[in-house]
Amino acid sequence: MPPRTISVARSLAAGALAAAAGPLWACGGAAPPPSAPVPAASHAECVLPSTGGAVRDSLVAAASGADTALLTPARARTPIGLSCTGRPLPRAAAAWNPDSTRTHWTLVVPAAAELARHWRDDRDAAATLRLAGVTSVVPLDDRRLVVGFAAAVDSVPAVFADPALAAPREADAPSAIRLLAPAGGDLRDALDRGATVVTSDPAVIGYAGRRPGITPHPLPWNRTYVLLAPRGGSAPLDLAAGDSAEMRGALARDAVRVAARAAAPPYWWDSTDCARAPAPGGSAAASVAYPAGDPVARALAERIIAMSKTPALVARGVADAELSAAITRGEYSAVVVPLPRRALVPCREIAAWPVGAAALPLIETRPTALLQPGAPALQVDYDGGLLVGEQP
Amino acid sequence: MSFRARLFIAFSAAVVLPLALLAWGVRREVDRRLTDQYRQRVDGAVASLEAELAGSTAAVEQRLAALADRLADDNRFRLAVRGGPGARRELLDWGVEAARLSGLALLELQDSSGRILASGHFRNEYDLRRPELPRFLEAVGASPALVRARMPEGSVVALAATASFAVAGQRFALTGGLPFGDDALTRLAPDPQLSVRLAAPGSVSAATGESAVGEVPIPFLDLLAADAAPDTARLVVLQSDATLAGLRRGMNAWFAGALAGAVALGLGLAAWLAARVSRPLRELAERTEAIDLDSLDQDFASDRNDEIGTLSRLLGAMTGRLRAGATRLREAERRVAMGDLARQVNHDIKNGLVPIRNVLRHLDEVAPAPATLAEVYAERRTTLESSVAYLETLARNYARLTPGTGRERCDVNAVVHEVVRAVPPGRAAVRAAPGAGVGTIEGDRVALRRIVENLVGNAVDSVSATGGEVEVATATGRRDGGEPVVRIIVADAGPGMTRAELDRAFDDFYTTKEGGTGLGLSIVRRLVLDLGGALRVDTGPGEGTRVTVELPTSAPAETR
Repeated sequence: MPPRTISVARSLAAGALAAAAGPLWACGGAAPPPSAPVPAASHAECVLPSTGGAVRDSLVAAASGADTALLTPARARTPIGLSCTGRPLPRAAAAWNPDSTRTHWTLVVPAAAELARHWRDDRDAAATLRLAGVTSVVPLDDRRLVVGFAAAVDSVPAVFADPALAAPREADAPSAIRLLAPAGGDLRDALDRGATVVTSDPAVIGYAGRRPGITPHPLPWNRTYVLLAPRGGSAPLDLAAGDSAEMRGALARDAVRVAARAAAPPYWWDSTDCARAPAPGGSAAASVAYPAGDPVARALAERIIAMSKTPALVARGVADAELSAAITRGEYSAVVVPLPRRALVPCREIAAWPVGAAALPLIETRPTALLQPGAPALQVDYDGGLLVGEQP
Repeated sequence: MSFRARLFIAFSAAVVLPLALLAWGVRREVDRRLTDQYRQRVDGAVASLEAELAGSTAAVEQRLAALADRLADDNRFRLAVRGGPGARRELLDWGVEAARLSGLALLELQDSSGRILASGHFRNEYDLRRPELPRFLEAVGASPALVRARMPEGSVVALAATASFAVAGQRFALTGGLPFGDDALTRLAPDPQLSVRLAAPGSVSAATGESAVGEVPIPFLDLLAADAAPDTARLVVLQSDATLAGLRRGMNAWFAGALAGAVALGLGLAAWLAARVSRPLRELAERTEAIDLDSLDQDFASDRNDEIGTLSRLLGAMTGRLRAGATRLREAERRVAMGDLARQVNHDIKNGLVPIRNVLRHLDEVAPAPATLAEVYAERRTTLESSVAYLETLARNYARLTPGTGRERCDVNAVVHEVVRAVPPGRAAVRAAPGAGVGTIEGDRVALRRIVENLVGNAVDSVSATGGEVEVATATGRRDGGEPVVRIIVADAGPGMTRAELDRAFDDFYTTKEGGTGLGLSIVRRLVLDLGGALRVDTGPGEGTRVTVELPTSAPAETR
């Protein structure tokens, strides 16, 4: 659809609507008239081709919560996508372009007003936009949405690829992917049912390697495991003294049982200037905490304890829901936390870190997609996320 | 203390003491057996504990031997120890899987230098050097030993053993152990009333409310300690004090209850026996107590054949004899009383007749001179009249046969003057010395006159031979400083009395005078007592006699 010029009057009316919606939506005021949107070029550089034969239903499965997020159908409804190389891809938005100041970006999306209302009403979406520095969201008309940022953004803002900003799904819209909940948590059963599986589990990957016709595809390195000392100092314990590429490589090689490599700079959190939680008071338990459901984090915590000279130091699994608060309160000496290797909203990822917290990158991991015969072509996102894509 | 009380105490002692002794002995015996039984159970528990430890250690050794055999045959392991590519991770994971499959809580594979190649309880412990663990277990040998090892989220205590094997020319030590936590300790306690606790070196065996009744020393290595030196822990068999205390409490309660019941029964029996035995004696005592000269008709008849029956019959016979003796005694008393009465009448009449006879003698003396006869008669007429009146009163009193005295106001000085005037001249010089303020007394005038007459008569008799003087004085005073009294003092300068004579002076019929009746002072004493007074005699051989009569008076008196 060709871009349209929006009149000032309509823009003012839209600004008034945004003012009534709340501070975030009011602060943008009248958006400057956008330049003509440039439709993103479609490309096939990050597409897993169809494995041939009759294309079947796209059954996919993943065991862990993090891997499941790679398969969420919501990816298809985010304004843009980011390919495995970081190139923007049109998703819900057919086109986008900035104004001259590059502080306002216009998205060409269907039902722009509805999307704006959804972003305003949905708590995760609103928080994501706020932490991404969005100051206003103004629908110009049914198809154009102007998003204002506090600072100029050179390229299309990556936050538009965040699943939290996915447009609401229509009730009767068919899904290209049917996500299976593996029975008993064993992904090998899902493989046996013909599902394409995304996993890091070496046992599942090993099983798939012994099954004819299943093609393993390593996905992009998408996660960095960090040893975080909420109270700063030299905390990552006595391991800090031994911090080296060799040590990280040994961790990646021996301590964990997934595809891993030593973490390498640059790290996005080093260049962020986000508001931090206040420094914690009291004292910390002599524990290395980790997300209770994450075997990689657990293995890293155990290895750190094994190498520690403090006999009283123990590993402590903490539920995901409690981990952020524990980090903010500085309850534990150190915490092994998984971070996205590329953060679309950096301040959201480290919102729980208190002032003075010190982070020691350890390893990076990536999942593997196990493609069944007859699987459709799959688009691979920057974080390994998959969605049914075009045949290259 | 009554005979019944003594019987009760004797019976009680006879019943209660054996019962208490029996209870004490039974309790002690039961307690000893209970303790012995506990001891046997504890000994059994300790033996069972040692057997269980040995069995568990053997089981660990068997599993380790099987794992070592499997490793020796495993080509992947051979490649891994030779440093084959990609084998390292398999080796690390082997430890976890082997521990899980073999049920061992502790599993470590170490090379000859003590470097950990794989750990089942702490996968990521690899590459650490810990030679002290296999060294400790090799030194212990086949004996059970405990190891406290580090785990990611804490520590584990395991009953451990070690096995060594060689692969590719290298020696390896495989160390494993079964968990030795609370569950294992609970399983080790064969008796629900006993518990087993692991006391680490230097710790206390038992907590409050528990008693350590048995101990099994066991070599112990704490890998969490800084020096990780071999030590000895103790498996302590504990018995809850509450259990044994409860048993003893229950036993004591039952014994106390049984003893109390037996004692109560014994005391009841003792009381019944004491009452049964003492009742005939009490009845006998009651009948004996009722025996009196006027009541000698008690019935002591008894058909008992025992000592009490004999005693009762003896008392009956004694009562019979007493009845006969009392009859004779009454007759003798009657006769004596009649004699006494006759002598008293004689004495009293003589006292009344003496003034009359003296007046008549006086009249005989003056009869030759008729001119003075009338004058003398007139002068002595009052003496005659008072003597006649005295005799009349005496006769009335005897006629009534009442020894009691009348109550009237009597002028003491007047009576004294009357008696002194009645003394015939020539026998002795009798002088009245009435005290000032001496008033009256409440009493019988005849009795008062008889008192004064008898005392003056005795005094005159005592001085008649020597010609001494008799003084009759009166005075007022207070008896012992309290009650007002009138004192009548009759003093003579006679020979006085010895102590023996004085002791018998107031006895009836005791006299030292020729022709005396021996009733004078006896009558005086009775009359003074009748008037509520008191009598005192001050005398000594050669010192004369001074008799003081104190009679109560209602009039205020001044001490003189």
